[in-house]
Amino acid sequence: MEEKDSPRRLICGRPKSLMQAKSPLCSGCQHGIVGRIISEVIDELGIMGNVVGIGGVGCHAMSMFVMNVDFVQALHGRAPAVGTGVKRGLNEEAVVFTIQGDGDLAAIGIGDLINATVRGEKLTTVFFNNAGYGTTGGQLAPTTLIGQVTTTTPDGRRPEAGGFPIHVAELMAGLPGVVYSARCAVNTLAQFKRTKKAIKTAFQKQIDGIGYGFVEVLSACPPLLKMSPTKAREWFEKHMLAEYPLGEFKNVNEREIKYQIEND
Amino acid sequence: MEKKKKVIEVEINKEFCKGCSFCVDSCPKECLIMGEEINSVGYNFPVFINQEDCTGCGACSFLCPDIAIEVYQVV
Repeated sequence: MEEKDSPRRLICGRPKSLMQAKSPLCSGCQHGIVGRIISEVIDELGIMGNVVGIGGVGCHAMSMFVMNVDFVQALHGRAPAVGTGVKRGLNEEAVVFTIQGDGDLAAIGIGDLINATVRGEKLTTVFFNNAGYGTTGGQLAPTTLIGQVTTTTPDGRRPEAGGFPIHVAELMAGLPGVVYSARCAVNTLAQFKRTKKAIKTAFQKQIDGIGYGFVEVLSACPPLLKMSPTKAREWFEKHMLAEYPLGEFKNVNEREIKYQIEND
Repeated sequence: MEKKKKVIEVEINKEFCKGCSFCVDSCPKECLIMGEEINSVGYNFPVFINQEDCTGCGACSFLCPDIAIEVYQVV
């Protein structure tokens, strides 16, 4: 092949802050794409030596094995608390982000997340929502859709017994410490670019010292759904996008103070 | 003046591939197909067959969960 020897320019490939290593995730798991987006954003912002990631417990934390940045493994759901310590301990000079899954963030860690915003921390959280506990074998998570079959809801989630799915991006948009909240997907090229823009904005809000940035990324888990990757993606487009609307829910440049007592 | 056509090369790292076929589904010009061969862990991997129609949009590379695809433009 003559063309192989001619000079060529890389249009798209592996980002610099992602190691040349095989992804440890299952076939068709879109968490790898989100890890890649975070790496591309770190490259574009030029913060590779000045960034600390905090990983929760779950499949999403596999990204820490392939990303070429410093990582701390937190206890289940406690990533914003550990991130607070890292951020304050480094005199707010480092850029600190947390990656958390839906069992980690929405179930056991929702109190930690809300309290981190109440304390006025300047962190970035990327929330991987795949509507179930993937690591432990597919149990019901707070984000599981109504009617979805899991190992703990064999007849589908019923509101009488299993409750309702939680919409974390809208919840975060209502908190005064949060300056950016969005929900994205990575099923098409257009959605990929929107997700990248959202994650970049969430990092930029932290770098500018404005406040807490939150991005929820939806994906499907083929082993949890017991489907092939293509079928799981079709299921995702039909059901997940119907339950969880995509878009930006909050994007402000200053944290709002509703009322303040004036002392003389 | 006739516009010079872009020549695109798509490189697939077959050992990183897990055979999810997202690249084949996402290609708007149907330039990739799933091959018959299998890699060392037992997955079929895609083959780049249609260099003529490829526009270099990068959908296959960006949507690859295993980051196994690199897209180059010959200059």
